[in-house]
This record gives sequence, C-alpha cells and structure tokens, in this order.
Amino acid sequence: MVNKQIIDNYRELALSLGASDFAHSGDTVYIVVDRERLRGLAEALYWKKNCYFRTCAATDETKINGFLALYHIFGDDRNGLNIVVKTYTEPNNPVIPSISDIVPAADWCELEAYDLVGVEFSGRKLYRFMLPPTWPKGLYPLRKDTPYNYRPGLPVSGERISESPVSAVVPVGPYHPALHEPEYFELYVEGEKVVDVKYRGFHVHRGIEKLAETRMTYQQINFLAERICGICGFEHSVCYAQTVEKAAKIDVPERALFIRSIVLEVERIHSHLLWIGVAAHLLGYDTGFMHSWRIRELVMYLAELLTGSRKTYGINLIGGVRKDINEEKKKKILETLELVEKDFKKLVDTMLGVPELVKRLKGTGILPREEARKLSVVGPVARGSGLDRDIRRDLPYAAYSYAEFKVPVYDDGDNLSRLLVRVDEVLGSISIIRQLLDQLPRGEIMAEDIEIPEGRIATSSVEAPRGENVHFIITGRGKPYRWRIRAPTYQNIPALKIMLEGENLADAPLTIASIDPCFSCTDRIYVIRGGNRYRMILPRRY
Amino acid sequence: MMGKLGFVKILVIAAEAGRVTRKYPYEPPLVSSDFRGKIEIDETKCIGCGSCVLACPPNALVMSDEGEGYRVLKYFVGRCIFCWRCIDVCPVDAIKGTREFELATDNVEDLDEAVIHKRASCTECNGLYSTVKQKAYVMEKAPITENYVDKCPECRRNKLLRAFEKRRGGESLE
Amino acid sequence: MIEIAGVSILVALFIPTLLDGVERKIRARIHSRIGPPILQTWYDVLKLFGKDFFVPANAVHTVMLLFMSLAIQILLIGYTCIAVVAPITPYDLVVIAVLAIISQAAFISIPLTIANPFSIIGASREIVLMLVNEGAFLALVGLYAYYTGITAFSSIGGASPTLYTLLTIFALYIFSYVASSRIPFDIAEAEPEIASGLLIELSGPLLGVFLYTLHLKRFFFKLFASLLLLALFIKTGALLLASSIVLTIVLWLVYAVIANILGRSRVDLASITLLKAYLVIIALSVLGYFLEV
Repeated sequence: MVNKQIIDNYRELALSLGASDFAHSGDTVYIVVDRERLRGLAEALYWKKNCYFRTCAATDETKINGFLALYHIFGDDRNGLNIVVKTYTEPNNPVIPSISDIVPAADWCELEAYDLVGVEFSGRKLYRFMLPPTWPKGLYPLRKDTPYNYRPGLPVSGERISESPVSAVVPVGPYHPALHEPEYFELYVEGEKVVDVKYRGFHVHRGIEKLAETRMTYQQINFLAERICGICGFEHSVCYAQTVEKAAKIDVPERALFIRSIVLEVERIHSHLLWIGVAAHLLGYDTGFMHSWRIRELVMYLAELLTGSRKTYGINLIGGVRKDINEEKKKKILETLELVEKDFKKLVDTMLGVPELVKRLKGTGILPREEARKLSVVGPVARGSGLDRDIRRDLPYAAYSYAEFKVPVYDDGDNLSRLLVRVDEVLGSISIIRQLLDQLPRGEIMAEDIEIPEGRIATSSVEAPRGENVHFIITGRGKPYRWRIRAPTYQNIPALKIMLEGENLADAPLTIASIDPCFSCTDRIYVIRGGNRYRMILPRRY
Repeated sequence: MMGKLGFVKILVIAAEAGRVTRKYPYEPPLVSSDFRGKIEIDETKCIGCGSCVLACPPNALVMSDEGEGYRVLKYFVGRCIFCWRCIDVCPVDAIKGTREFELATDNVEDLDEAVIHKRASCTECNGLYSTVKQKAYVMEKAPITENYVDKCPECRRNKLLRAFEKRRGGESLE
Repeated sequence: MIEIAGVSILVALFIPTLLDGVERKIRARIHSRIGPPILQTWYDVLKLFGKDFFVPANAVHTVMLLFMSLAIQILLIGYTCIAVVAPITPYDLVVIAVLAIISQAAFISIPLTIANPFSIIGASREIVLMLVNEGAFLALVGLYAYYTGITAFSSIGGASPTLYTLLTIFALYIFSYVASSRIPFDIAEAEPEIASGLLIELSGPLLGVFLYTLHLKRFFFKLFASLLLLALFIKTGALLLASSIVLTIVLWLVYAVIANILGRSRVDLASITLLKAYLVIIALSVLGYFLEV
C-alpha cells in the first residue's frame, strides 16, 4: 500500500501551509484549508509535488453544516494517491479564490461550479459556461433547494456564426462531421491555416448528477452511470460502483473484480477499434474504416455474449457483477481474441503503409509535453505527449494489480503518436484479458450485506479508453448526497486550441477527433434549451 | 515485406474476410444466446408486489391503482433499457426475459403491456389494500393468521393499538 | 460510319453512371460489404431529378453554369466520337483539348458562385489542383501531337508507338485519374473535412445534374487518353472508337480499385507531389525524344 513516509510528507506540507485538518484513508488524503491559504496549497501540490489536477466539485452542504464546499481533487499518480482539498464558504457570500491561473486545468470546473452551484471565484473572469445566457440569475441547479424538475421557461433561440473582419470563419458543427455528436467549433482560417479556435459545447446536458441526487436509488444509478457515455459507459458504471464501495467499505468478491476488468478491457478494444476506423474515415481511407469496424464487430458480439448487450452492458451493481463467465464463454473469448489480434495486426500494418495516411498523421496536431502537463490532459492524449500516466497502473482498481502490462508512451505529441498509443493499447488489452482469464478465481460474484452509511466521502478513477474518469461521491440516505462525474474529454478539449492553432484546415477534423472526444459525456450535467450568441472561449495559452 | 506497396495488402485482407454484412431483414440477425431483449410478464404468476417497480431504473414499470378495486402493473417497452433487474428481484419468477428486439411499430399502444390485479378488501372497513394474490402469497409463505392478513394495514394498526389500550385498561381496572 | 458514332455517343452518355454503380459494388467488395445494386447510381440520379427544384440563395449563376457545364460535356463527348470516325477539321485534337479546358473551367466555377465557406474552400482547393493538372494536360497533348504528328484522327495512319510517346500517354492517364477527383485527389469535396465542399449547397435536380456531369467528365478523360494510346496501334476510326470505349470501361474498374486502397491527400501535399511527377515524366519524355529512345 501507500508508503507512510509519503503520507507524512503530505501532512507536513499541508500543515506548514496552514491546513486546518488532515486525514488519510486508503489511497486518498483529505485536507481542509481556509480560503486564504488555498492558492498556496494548490501551487505547492500542482507544481512542487508535481500532482496532476483531476477536477473540482462544488457542493451545497447547507443541510449538513450550513456551508457551501469546494473540493479540489489532485492526483499524485506516481505515489498512487488522490488528494482532496476542501474549502468552505458561506452561502450568502460564496467567494473562493480562483486557482485557474496556477492550475490551468481547473479553468473549466471552476466555471462549472460558478454556473451550477453559484460559487464565486475571485481573481478570474467568470462567465456563463454551461447554462444558457437567458437562465435566471441566482438560480443554481445543483443547490439542494432547487427541485430537479424545475424548468424556467426559457425562450428558444438560435446561434449565429461569428464574423471576423480578418479571417474567414469555418464552422465545424453543431454536429461533428464524422463523430456525429453535438459540438461546435469555430475555426478562424487564413487561407488553409487555422489561426484561432473557439469551442461551444454543452448542447446536450442531461442533468444526470441532479437526477441521481434527487430521485434515484444507489443500485439504479449504476444503469444511469452507464449511459453517461455511449462508447465507454461501462467505465463510468464501474467507477460509480467502486466509488460507492470505497465510501461504504464494501468488500467486493475477487471474481467480480476480475470480471469487471475483463469487460473493461473488452470495452477498450472496441472503443479503440471504433476510433481507428473513424480516423481512417477522416483521412478518406474508408476501406480501413470498414475493416476496423468489421473487426470491432467480433468484439461487440463477444461483449454481448459476456454481458447480454452489445453496449450498456448493465452487469454492474454496487457490490459486484450480475453475470458470470463460464468455461464455454472463456473458450469463446480466447478464440475471438486470437482472431481479433491477428486481423488487427494485419490491418494496422496495412494502414500504416498507406502513404497519404502517414503523411497526414505525422507532425499534425502537436501538443507539446509542457502544455499537456499544464492542462493535466488524460489518456492517450497524455501518453501521446510523453506523460507517463495510466490509472490502471498508478492507482490499480478492479483486478489490474494481477495483470502485467506496459503503458505505451510516445513523445512526439502528434496525431500519429496518439494513434500508436491506441494501437498498442488494443494489443495490451488483449494480453490483459488473457492473463486475467488465466487467473480467474472461483467464488461469488456479488457481495452480501450491502450497507451504505451516510456522510462518507470517496473519490476514485477508472482509466477509460479516452482517459481517466473521475467520480466523487458524498453518500446520502438511499442515494448519493453529491455525485460529481468528470469525463476524460472534459479535461482534453482545452488542449485542442493548442493542437489546432497554425494547423492546416484539412487536418482540423482529424486533430479534433484525435482526442477521441465524447461530447455527450462532457456535457452531462444540465438541460440546456437553446442559447444565443453565446460563446465559450477556450482557455488562453498560459 | 512488400515495401512501399504494402498497402495493397488490404485487398488480400478483404478477400480473406469475404462478405460480412447480411441481407437483414431477409436473413436472421446476429444475436447471441445471452442477449437481453424485451421482458414478458406472466400474469398468472404476478402477485402485484411492486418489487420490479422499485428496482426499475428508467421507470418502464409503474404501478397505479385504477378504477374500482384494481391495481395495474404497466410495462412500457419504449422506456425499457432491457437491464432485466425486474427479473432479478421478482419474488415469484413471474418475469421472463426474451431475445426479442425488433419492437418498432407504427402504433404506440403496441408498446404498452399491463397486468391487472384485483385488490384485496379489508374484512373490517371494506377498504382496499394490496392485491388478492399478494395476500395469498403472504399467507402461503408466512405463518400469519388469515384473520390478520384479511385486514388492511390501517385496521391492523388500529387493532394493535386497541389491544394495547385494552391491556392497559385492564391493568388499571385491577 | 455515322451510325457507329451515334451508337457510341449513346453508350458514352449512359454507361458512365452505370460504371459508377459498378464502382460502388467494387468498393463494397473491398470493404467486405454487400453494397447496393449496380444500377443504384442511375436510380439515385433519376430520383434526384424527381425532387423539388431548389436553387440556393443568390445562386442563379450556379444553375446557369451547371447546365452550361453539362451541355459542354455532352458536346465534348459527341464531338470526340464523331471526330474519331469522321474527322471534322484537320485540328480536331486541338478543338477537343480546348473544349475540355472550357468544360473544366465551367465545372469549377460552379461552387465558386455559391456563398458558402465550404463551397468556396472546396473550389479553391480544386483550382490549386487544376492549375497543376490542366497545365500538364496541355503540355502533354502538345507533346503528343508534336511527336506523332497527329492533330486529328484523320492523320493517325503514320504514327507508331515510341517509348517517349507512351510516357506522355502514361502521364495523361495520371491526369485523367486526378481529373476524376477520386481519392486521394477528392480534396475538393472531402466529406468529413469540409462537409462535401463543392457539393454542399446542391440538392435535388441540381445535384443530379452535377453528378451526371461528373460521371461524364470521368468517362471522357479516360476515353481521351485511351484514344490517344490506341491511335498508335489501331488505324481504323470505328475500331479505334469501339476499342477505346472498352479500354475506358476496364480502366474505370482499375481506377475504382486504386481509389479504395488509398487515403485522401491534402491540397498542399497533392499539388506538389503531382507537379513533381509531371515534371519528371515530361523531362524524361523530352529527353527520350532527343535521344531517340
């Protein structure tokens, strides 16, 4: 487990910087700090301790202690630690100093906290981020006194393309031309060169967090969590379940953990195959697209056999899984994997031999290592830019500590690097599944006696195909008091501005797709009905 | 191996793979043995206890009291996410999963199913409570007297309170 | 003789769209799919003609140019077919080349008249590519005429195949591939990048006309290169025309396969690569002529 020395170091650091409380449980360190001392602590954690930033979660705790609270979640991946920094503020004057100039990665979540919980951040520009501009002032959807089904009658209005006197504006969206998801990028071009980028997202808020906090039960939320993302939903449901299990200290049977890991890796394979197909399509290589998806189909069939459904597997519950793997299925998995591995290797070999493809992947959409670190990007985007981080290895969950695997890291930060990371990961996943099937322990797949006490806090992460999912939960009665979800794309979109500037217009869709964006998971929080002439501007270059 | 012309190998891959799409709906679809499809409720077994309604994540199963003494369990396939949690929790195995997924229809009413239960009536106040079948199920499973189960929860509580009162009253008399 | 030309014209007007259907079938086969029926492209075009006639905003010129482009394309095919069996002027080759350039110019002006950023980007990409491609076309036809002395199909008797002539014809085939805007040279309509670029505002009958013109264009450039190639071997006009059409059909299928094993290029990459290729071939050919290889 975590070295005691490291915890002591954190305790010393926190107390020397004026933390008022320090606690440690499992892989998580909890620090409570006054508003005035928050910036100092954040700087020490992010730059001196070299922690990544995971997300922040604002919570309305007026019913518990009369305060609003803000939890900043940092991650010391090298030492396998989550660091939760809590700051209180009064509901009638909810001001907390912003850390987004020290920790650029905190930019989005601060705006989100401002929009949805009404926490004001001093020392930064605040603007409407998720909610439409016509949303009533002072109405904060995630405050506990706002009913979940309250709908302020907002006028439906359209958005116009911006006009620029200097450069031509090329709209990409409101549907991504290849991923067919709602997003909107405005590319400002001179000739075929992109000179500026604006992003407007959050068209598809679904109010998932609010829904779970108000009208669902712990076990029902597993199925809701699975629907956060259409491609990597299972990661969210595992992440939710294991966060609750961690909070309630539930012992999950080993066999269930193995099954979770196996299914997670099946999902990673099909997700990466999907992405490789889409990338080929964007490069005009439809043959590669079709064959990638042909191979993916074998994996989808396997997923259905293992779980009962091609997608939205629905086998997770708090305490374990619902469907076991028998010998016959084990054999089928191994057979399919062999076919997939053989076909996939051949296809990748061939694809990387197509001259135009390599020419257009290499050296485009570059994200330098330092920028990647500043923005705490996750997943293949981080690994393609030379950041060696993978939650499966750094904070092992499910059954990953039983498998050996290499985390692929490429240093060029271009589209080719991100492609190669994904290619390596597919092969890695195949090997992980084989190892885990080999060691699959006997026993139950569901814990008995599931009791979830109130008022416990936990955070945990799952390495989804796109990067780490972070879930943060404060338990409540029969349902979570607060459930905060951070999808990987949320962390990666800000990096797009850096990747796209100076880029060729022709490479923009590929570069946007290269982070494997999942706009709907990013946008999960609240319902938006229209919005006009409102733009979200990507963070400045720091 | 073929150097710069390696990409031509895709033709070999295509030839090996053959034709993988199917002339669906003229050919049967590829659905595995474990596929979770629409559920079927056996109305002869269902006792109207409502466990499935509590477990159902998307509220595809709802229960309501309707008309004169009826309790209706409604299943709307349009909302169903085919998770089969209802099957897990049903105490009498009244719900069965099928592999059916071709549910498109031009008539939305085709997507509705309902099981109608007669509600039990209280022998004391004639008020309606639970369902007749659930009452029978409880009597079969638990050693409770018919006299007790025959009453609605409210009458049961009143009876209990009266019993307490009587005992206390008796004590004070003595 | 003129009947043969007439039949050829009818074939040349019907078969390109059919060949596109075959191409889709081939693509499907390479994708391991079933794919649509062979007549699908014809069904598509006919269906488009049955749709509402919708003119995009401020695009009256577009309609004019579109029909002009179709008319020139038909004229071009008609003229070529007749000129092969019954030469019209002593400089038929020049007339055909000029008509071809005009038809290309009309074709590329279509998207430029539509006020849509994607359309304009598509058109500007096509123009960059065309500057290289058309320039090469004129140079190659000029070289061919100079080497062989063929300026009309009445003078095919004396020509004989030489290596440097064959080189120019090879380059003409590259030209015909690029002009057919197939992958990797379909950068002007790149679907995922610029949402079909030059096609974006066209719908209904206008799209039908555009597609049909595109098919004719693809057919014509292959036919033209084939005619010049076979003129070196076959000396009777009717036989030359018939065999060229057969060769064009075969080529179409070959092109279909090539288009499906490559990825899309980028406008800067494509034009530079193409320019280099043309310059090398032309240089080799001229060198060959002076060394009499």
